[in-house]
Amino acid sequence: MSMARYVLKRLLLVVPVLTGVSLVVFGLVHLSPGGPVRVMLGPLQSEELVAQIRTELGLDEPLYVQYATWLWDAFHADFGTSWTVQQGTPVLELIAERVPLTLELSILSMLLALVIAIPTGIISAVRQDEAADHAARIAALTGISVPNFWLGIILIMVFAVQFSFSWGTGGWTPPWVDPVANLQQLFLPTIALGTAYSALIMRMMRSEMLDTLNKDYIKTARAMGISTREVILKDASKNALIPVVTVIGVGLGNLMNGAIVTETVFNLPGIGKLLIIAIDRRDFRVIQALVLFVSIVFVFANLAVDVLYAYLDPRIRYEGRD
Amino acid sequence: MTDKDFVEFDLDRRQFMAVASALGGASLAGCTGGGSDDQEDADDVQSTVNEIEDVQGNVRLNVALSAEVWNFDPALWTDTATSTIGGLIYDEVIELTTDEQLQAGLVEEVPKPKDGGTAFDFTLREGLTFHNGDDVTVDDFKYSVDWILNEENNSPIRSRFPFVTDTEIVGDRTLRMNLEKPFATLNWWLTRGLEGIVPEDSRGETKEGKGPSGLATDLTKDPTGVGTGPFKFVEWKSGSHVLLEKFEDHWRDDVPYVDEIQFNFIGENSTRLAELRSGNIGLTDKVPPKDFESLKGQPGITAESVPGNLTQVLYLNLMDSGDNPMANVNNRRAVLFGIDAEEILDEIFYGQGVVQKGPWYPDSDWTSPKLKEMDLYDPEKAREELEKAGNPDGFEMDIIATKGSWFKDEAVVIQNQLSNIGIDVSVTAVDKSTLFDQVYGTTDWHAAMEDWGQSIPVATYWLDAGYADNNHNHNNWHHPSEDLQDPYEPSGPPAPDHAEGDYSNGHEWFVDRLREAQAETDEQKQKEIVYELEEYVTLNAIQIDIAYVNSLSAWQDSISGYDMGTFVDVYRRIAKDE
Repeated sequence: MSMARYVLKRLLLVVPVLTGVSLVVFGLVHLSPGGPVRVMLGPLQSEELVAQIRTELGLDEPLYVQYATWLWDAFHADFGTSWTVQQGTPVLELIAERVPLTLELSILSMLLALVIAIPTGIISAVRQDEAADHAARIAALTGISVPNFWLGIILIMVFAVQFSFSWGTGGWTPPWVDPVANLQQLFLPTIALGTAYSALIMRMMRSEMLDTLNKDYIKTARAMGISTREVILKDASKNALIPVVTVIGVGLGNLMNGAIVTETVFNLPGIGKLLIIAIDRRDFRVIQALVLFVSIVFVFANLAVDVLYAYLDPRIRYEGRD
Repeated sequence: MTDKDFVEFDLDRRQFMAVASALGGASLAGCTGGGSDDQEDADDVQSTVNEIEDVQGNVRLNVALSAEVWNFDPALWTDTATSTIGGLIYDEVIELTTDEQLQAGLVEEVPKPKDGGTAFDFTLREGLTFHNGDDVTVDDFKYSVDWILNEENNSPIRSRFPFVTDTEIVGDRTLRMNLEKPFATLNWWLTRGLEGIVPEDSRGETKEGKGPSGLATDLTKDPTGVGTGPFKFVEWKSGSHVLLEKFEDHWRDDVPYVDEIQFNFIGENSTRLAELRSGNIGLTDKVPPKDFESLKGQPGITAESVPGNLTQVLYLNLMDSGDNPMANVNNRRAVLFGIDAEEILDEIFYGQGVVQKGPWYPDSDWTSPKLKEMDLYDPEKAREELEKAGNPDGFEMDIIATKGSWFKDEAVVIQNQLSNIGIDVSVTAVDKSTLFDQVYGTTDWHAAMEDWGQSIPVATYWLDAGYADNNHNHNNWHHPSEDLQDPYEPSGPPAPDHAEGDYSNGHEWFVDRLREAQAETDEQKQKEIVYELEEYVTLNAIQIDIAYVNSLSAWQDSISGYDMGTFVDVYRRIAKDE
């Protein structure tokens, strides 16, 4: 099967996947107790008004009708206007305003994770069972175990309170407007979000590296007199990185999920914080659109990883069992 | 990507460390250094606060609010966060001061009732202008009030214009409100009913896409130019902040004292406090009670506690729905006498508040002297009530509480307290919207732990808002009515023996008596009725009012002019030392 056919097949599979996701999300949101109308109106409104607003919002329609209407509109990129987050604002506008921040935070966190994890993983494998390895493994275990909301709060306490580090509360300055302010705003959140992920990649890198270093071709290379440094950096690490790429791809989606907590702790106006407000205020339209958006990112990140795999490892072929 | 791309990662250890150090160093450029003692820390914080001014070239104050705003149409908001910010963009027609007095806002004076209390004339100040430069006219005033009164617009604050039927222009700057019947405390209700005058027709037409009818207008998210207040609206980014800037032509010549004020919405308590401690923000509301003392002791920060307007309430479902133990007055009284409010205040709120004796503030002249003398926590009495109810060994009941808040903690303390008298309580934590749906829309619950923000310092307001509405009060306390939907039947205790008139239900009597109090202009007579109603609802345990929690705020010492009150916080005179 050619690469093009494989990609096409995967793209077609995206449709049922996203439909399934939308169905599950729609069901969970609408079947869970509580709705937006009472939140919108406050406690002291008559049942008549509650009923009238439910009708206006279409919430009194059978669930399958509501779902079909929403799906049809979503198919036409019409997610309607927000009910309770910012009444009257198009949902797409709310999301589009916040995506760059979350994307930047995720990418920076991923970069930080890679910068820490790959060299540390290599060193840890090369120095197996030595002090550096033990230190790296303990650090990795700690990194995985520490919840990022807790780390975020500790970072705030240490940097902001003890060192009076100003990260420019209440907003986000795009890097193209003021890169220094942008870096300042995202410095602590990036550490909070990137650290745990770096621990995961480091462990993966170490394990793959150890496996690769024991391979025959590495031993042969060493026997041929190639320097250890060259063998590690040019032969072993490149091959060890291949499975790590999968983790990185899936991780981009995970980082977007992690951003929900991080953005809340650091008061950053990204899609994570938007989702929290939308859930709190039962803004079904915003919740559904956001979850669909994150799912799309996740699905396409996975697809990209699979495609990338073929380039990295020529042994991989996308053939069916036919 | 090809193999070649991975050569990029060929960093040796020293190169890696150099890159990491450079990244860290660049990012740490924002640090202003650490102090070795408290005073140095305070100085550092102050320098951070001042840097904000230098960079901006004017004085900007950063304020943290724990709650997000809803919308910026003064006819639509009902929450405190929006009222705080909206009060700066608009001006109230009649203002409430922090010492609970009325004062003229956009009008020349607080009006006195006319025509036997059925008319109030409001005369606008001279020379008022909107932020867009247009004059404020009586037509704008009429439009602003009429829009709220128009039932088709579904304004949630329509109920704050009790018995107002219509308006008429009776002078160049004078608008008259006509009432169906006398209502002595109308001016007080309007402090939270008329929080702004907007230009005629500025709300636009209700249309699809804007939101449900009456719940979203052209002003909902962008009130640019339509305010009259000391600050002009600049931007609102939901989930992040609202930015306001000084309005130079405000009718109060001497305010505001800062050029810009940014309200940041920071729900996370620890983040809000860290931002204050670091100097990123100048002031925060809603300091958690557990952190108050430590914050108070920190150099460079002022922390204050004033009596608050949040009452902690255990709503009880009076509706007899088969197995609901709260339909029995003796069971309800057992719960009332079994709850130690003092312990709740100490355990959950670190003593920051005051135990209630009935619906209103215990030290107020408007609280019944009889209730003031009573000790409502009395386990012996609770057991006696259980005996009377035929449940000497207690009974089982459920309490629902909002999750992720102190309500659940309060419910758990109540659970422990009631277990001492044999009442077996199950606590269920739910989302706020779920709790609202269940309490206001069903009869399938026993008790709910919630709070209620008193927006108006009038005892009859709470008796009205909390108990009077027949078809949606939170205790399912009802009298017979053709308007009620099927599941709602008359419920609750009968009218008292001394009640004059033929009442089939206590709620009917309560509402009639409350209306008498609201129309009464003689304060002493009004108080006597209020006492009677307070005793009735408290001793029949219609609901259990537990405690008023204090309002806690903290700010940098460089901030001055912030005026905290029980019912209102005033920001308009806030200033920052340069």
